[in-house]
Amino acid sequence: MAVSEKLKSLVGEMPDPDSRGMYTENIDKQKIEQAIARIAEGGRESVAGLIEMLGAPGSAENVKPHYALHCLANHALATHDEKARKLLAETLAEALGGDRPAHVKAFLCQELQWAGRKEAAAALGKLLLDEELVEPASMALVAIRDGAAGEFRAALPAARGKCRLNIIQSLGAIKDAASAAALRAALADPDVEVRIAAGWGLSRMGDADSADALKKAAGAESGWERIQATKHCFVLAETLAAAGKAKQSAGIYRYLMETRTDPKEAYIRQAAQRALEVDKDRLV
Amino acid sequence: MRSAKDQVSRRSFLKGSAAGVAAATIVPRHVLGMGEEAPSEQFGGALIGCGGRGRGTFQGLGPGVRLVAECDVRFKGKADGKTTYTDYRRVLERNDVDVVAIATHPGWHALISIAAMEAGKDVLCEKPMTRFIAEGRAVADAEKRFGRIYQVGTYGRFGANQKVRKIFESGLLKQCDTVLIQRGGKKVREWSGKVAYQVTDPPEWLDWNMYCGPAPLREYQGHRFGGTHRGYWDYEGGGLADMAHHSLDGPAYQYGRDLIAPVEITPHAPPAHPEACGMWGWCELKYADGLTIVLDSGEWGEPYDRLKPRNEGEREIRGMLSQEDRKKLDAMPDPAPLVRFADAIRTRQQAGGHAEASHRVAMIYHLANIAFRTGRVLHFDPVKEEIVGDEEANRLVYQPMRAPWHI
Repeated sequence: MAVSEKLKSLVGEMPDPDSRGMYTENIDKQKIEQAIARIAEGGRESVAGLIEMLGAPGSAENVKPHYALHCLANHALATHDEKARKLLAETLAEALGGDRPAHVKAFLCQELQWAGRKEAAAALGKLLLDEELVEPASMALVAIRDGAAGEFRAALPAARGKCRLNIIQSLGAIKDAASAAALRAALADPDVEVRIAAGWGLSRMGDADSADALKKAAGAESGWERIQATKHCFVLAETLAAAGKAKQSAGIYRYLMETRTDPKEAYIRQAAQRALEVDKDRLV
Repeated sequence: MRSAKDQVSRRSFLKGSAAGVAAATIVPRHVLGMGEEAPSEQFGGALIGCGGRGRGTFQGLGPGVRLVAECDVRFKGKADGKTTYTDYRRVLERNDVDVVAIATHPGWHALISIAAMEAGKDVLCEKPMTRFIAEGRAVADAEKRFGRIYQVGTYGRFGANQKVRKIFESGLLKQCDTVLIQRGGKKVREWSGKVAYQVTDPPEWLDWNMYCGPAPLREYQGHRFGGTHRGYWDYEGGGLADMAHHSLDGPAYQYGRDLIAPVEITPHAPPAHPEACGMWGWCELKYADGLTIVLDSGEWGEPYDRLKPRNEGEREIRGMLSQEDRKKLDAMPDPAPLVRFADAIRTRQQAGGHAEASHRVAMIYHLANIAFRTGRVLHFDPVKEEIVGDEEANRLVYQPMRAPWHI
């Protein structure tokens, strides 16, 4: 699409970088805010035009539209203009489906992480099987939350490698209880990072049905996986205790006390003992 | 956490056992398991992040710490997996590492601190403690859960006025109209990030993916690496995050802010850039009891003139108490002396700049930065550690991480 001369002119009002390539000289708050307010008046056409103007990261042509688009997203939030925010998010989301360079799409994901809500979830979900974009898309969905779980769940069966890892971790980050079974299955994944991410998610969810699986994982021989799986046991025990599931919580602490017999793991045994003592009225 | 009284002191241990003879032999702490009282007091230490402040941070571990492992993303292609590493997880797996000094870029501080404590190590971590607020909660939780010693690498509180501290610690002062103004010293212009730059391939010796860690994997540009990382939200938070832990550590302790947080944050700054830290003018951070901290950069906009410094000294603050409360105060014991890290790892007493307190110091500058970035007045719930009624601002309190990194 052709970018209007008016929009180009308003984008030109954004500050010029100083001699170091920074925004540290002649930063006129009022001038920026006035230009952004006028850009906002252009609605969808302004948002689409700014997307069209984006260039390669760091390049001279990218500096001003890149900054202006972020300021526009923030302007909608700061002025509590929900209609403008939604319109902006929908336009960004729509642009994710187009034929644009990955760095532009990654930036659009970042702006949706900043100002997007449920309306952007489906478009972000379509990037979850794209190795180049799964990270920014996942981070945006985790920030948005509303509508994210369905996208992660839908993408999981076909996801492999990096995509699978990001999806498993994200399901834990948003504590999607409906994915507990999938995460329990992932505890047996051949990829150690996936196993750890799954254990982390289950512990955060406070999924009582996962206690045995997490204890089994904590039986890993040694090293990083054992350290992480042990931490997951603690987090699950704490989450269960907070939810009033004292018996299950105490069982996990006792398991740790019984199994951490090597002197180098005495701090684990002591931590479990302390937890039982601190909360003994509920746990014992 | 076990108190010093529960411990057998090194002196009494040596005096009362044959180990006094054996003390000439170096016995690393891990050999004794929990090893709180290794006869030699010899600790195995690791340095993670060897550039910049790295060596100085390691020295901060104190005497009796032997360097057994170094880790840095710049060791790509030359790490031997025995004494040098690029992946901190391999360092933390080592049983001969008791204490860890962390001097990476701050985007890594929380993750490595937490992982180290999960692995049973004590931690001295460079400032700033964290990159965002939820990280601080996770570090404090790990410190408590595993009973580890944690100290952030700044020591302002050790020189604080203990008489003022005593008043706030007493709990007698319910309301307080003190206004503390910090002018300058935040290196705002110096630690800004680039908005225009040249993208290149990363140097062969740099593990760029590991450097970015939990932050987005961006195209390499040299200014993001090295000391100038400070200018990017991905890794730190500009001069404010870099300098404020120094300047706020003492006041936060002295004025009893260790377990509380500001409730209203009012910024004055131009619209922020999405990736590069930039200019700001000032920020007012007001606590529920009325005390207000003002951070005035003096580097952008009109000079700050909304509030004047007020009631900062012992006499004025004491004057806010009733006569009866002043008598109660005088009858109370003085605050316990703060414990330095080198002593804390031996006595198992909490270090002066422990995680729970340092988290509240970090909250001050993180909240100011969130207010600058969002451009709006924030209301913060210090108990839930959430911004009230602002979903998008809360996305900066807990920031998603790139897998496999998580807190």
